[in-house]
Amino acid sequence: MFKGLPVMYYRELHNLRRAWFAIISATVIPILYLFLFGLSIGGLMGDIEYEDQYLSYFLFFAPGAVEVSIIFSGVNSGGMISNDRYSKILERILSWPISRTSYFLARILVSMTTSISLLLFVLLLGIPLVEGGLYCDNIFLVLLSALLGIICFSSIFMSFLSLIPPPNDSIALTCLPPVIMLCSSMFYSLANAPSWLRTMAYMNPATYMTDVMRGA
Amino acid sequence: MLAIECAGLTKHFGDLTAVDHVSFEVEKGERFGLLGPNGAGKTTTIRMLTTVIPPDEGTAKVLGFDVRRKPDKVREKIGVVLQGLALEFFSTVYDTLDIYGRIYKMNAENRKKRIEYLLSEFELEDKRNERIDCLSGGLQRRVQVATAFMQPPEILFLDEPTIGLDPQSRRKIWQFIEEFSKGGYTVILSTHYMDEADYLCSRIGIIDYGKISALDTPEGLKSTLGGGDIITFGVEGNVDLLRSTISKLDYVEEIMAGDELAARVENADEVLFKLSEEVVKAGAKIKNISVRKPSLEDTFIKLTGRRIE
Ligand SMILES: Nc1ncnc2c1ncn2[C@@H]1O[C@H](COP(=O)(O)OP(=O)(O)O)[C@@H](O)[C@H]1O
Ligand SMILES: [Mg+2]
Repeated sequence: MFKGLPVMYYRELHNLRRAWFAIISATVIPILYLFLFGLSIGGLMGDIEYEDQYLSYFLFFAPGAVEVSIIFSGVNSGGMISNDRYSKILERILSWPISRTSYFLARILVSMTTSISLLLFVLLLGIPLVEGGLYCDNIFLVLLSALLGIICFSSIFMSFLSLIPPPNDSIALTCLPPVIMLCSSMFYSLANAPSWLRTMAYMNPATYMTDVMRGA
Repeated sequence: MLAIECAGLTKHFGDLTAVDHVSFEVEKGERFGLLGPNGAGKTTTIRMLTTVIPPDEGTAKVLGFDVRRKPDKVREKIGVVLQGLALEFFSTVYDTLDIYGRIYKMNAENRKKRIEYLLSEFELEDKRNERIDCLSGGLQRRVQVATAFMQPPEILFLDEPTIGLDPQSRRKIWQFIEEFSKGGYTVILSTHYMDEADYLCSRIGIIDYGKISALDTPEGLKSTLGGGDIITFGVEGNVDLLRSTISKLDYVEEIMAGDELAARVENADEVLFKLSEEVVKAGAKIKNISVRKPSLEDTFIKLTGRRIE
């Protein structure tokens, strides 16, 4: 069932070398979100009440920014499928001596490898930068929730891309992330949100992942 | 042992029956060709045999393994060259071949040796570090064919391997296929080029509208016409009328199907002058005359009622 997984993993990593922009954007964009949203909106809103504590918006949003990065890695996983489809290599892969599972799994593993190294990088860099404000008691919980997030969003985007035929696939790929990001607890506390938004958010895996990280 | 064994192979796409109860067998070491026009069902047949899509009906066995039940076993033993270009565009020529070596679990040393060999055989040495998307179409195609030879597969499937290629690349690929099959490997190829089928294949199945209408050696197929010579007239006049006139002559064996006025005779030397006179007598103006031996194309037109392009 996992036949050919190592070679597919190698292939994905190898291809990623050339797609360095994907890696950079996955690091830079969430940091950009964090600072722009965190500082600008944070200044407007003041502190936010969260589980009987008052947090600056910057801190409140930090897990959301991590989630942004994870959603982007999911988008990249989906994008790779559409690349494979457009370059017709997908048809070729179907007659390679590898299992179909390995094809998808290799992609998730690569997303994990890159995101986790990025996450660690950002945490190590971020903690001293923000005057000890950005801390977490349980880094394993954070990593675990990040891993689950990657599995979840990579699978979501990959199934999307497999089910939606071109040319609508790439459009779906650009439209889906904002919906996922906005209908969740990533950017704001759901305590004051209208009830329909809360319902949507509770169907959204991103909400849970963010909440786990925020709790940690 | 049989390399390929398929019986009643069928594939529907909606209302269309792309492959319609196709049955044939291929011995190990044979070079078998599927010859047919665009849309005949060649690619669909090959996709079923290479486990890309499952057949709707019928069975197919590759080296004794059923494509539906044991696709893994089949995939280990085959190499495939798809009709369209299917390469990782941002990869280099060397890396592209390297990945194929890894897929078939060759060790580093063997990979390296094999890649060097293929680069020199396909005259790609000076392109080894170029990206695929920077190569010309002919070279891209050569790389694609080369990938299928990385681990010498027991059966090689080639779907229209030389479609749209320059004559030089085409020769190169033909030579390589020939050389390869001398090692006892089996080659299954599809083509709509008569000369390619004639030159490369030891046996040819003529396929049209998803059905195989004839299956024989190239010589066997040509001889179904009964030998002799074919005389073709370029004329001004009513071709249908001329056809019915000359078909009544006793030395005309057969009128060829197709747009031109063409007749098969026992021996062109003896009857050419007589026949030309008859054509002129029937009121036509002859612009040119040509004489040739029956070709695969004539058989094809006779069997399917149409020209291939
Ligand atoms: N995926 C598909 N969906 C619908 N129709 C298809 C599909 N693939 C092939 N066909 C149709 O099946 C017929 C046979 O196609 P194909 O096997 O590609 O022919 P060939 O390779 O001989 O040119 C064609 O009429 C083609 O339009
Ligand atoms: Mg085809």
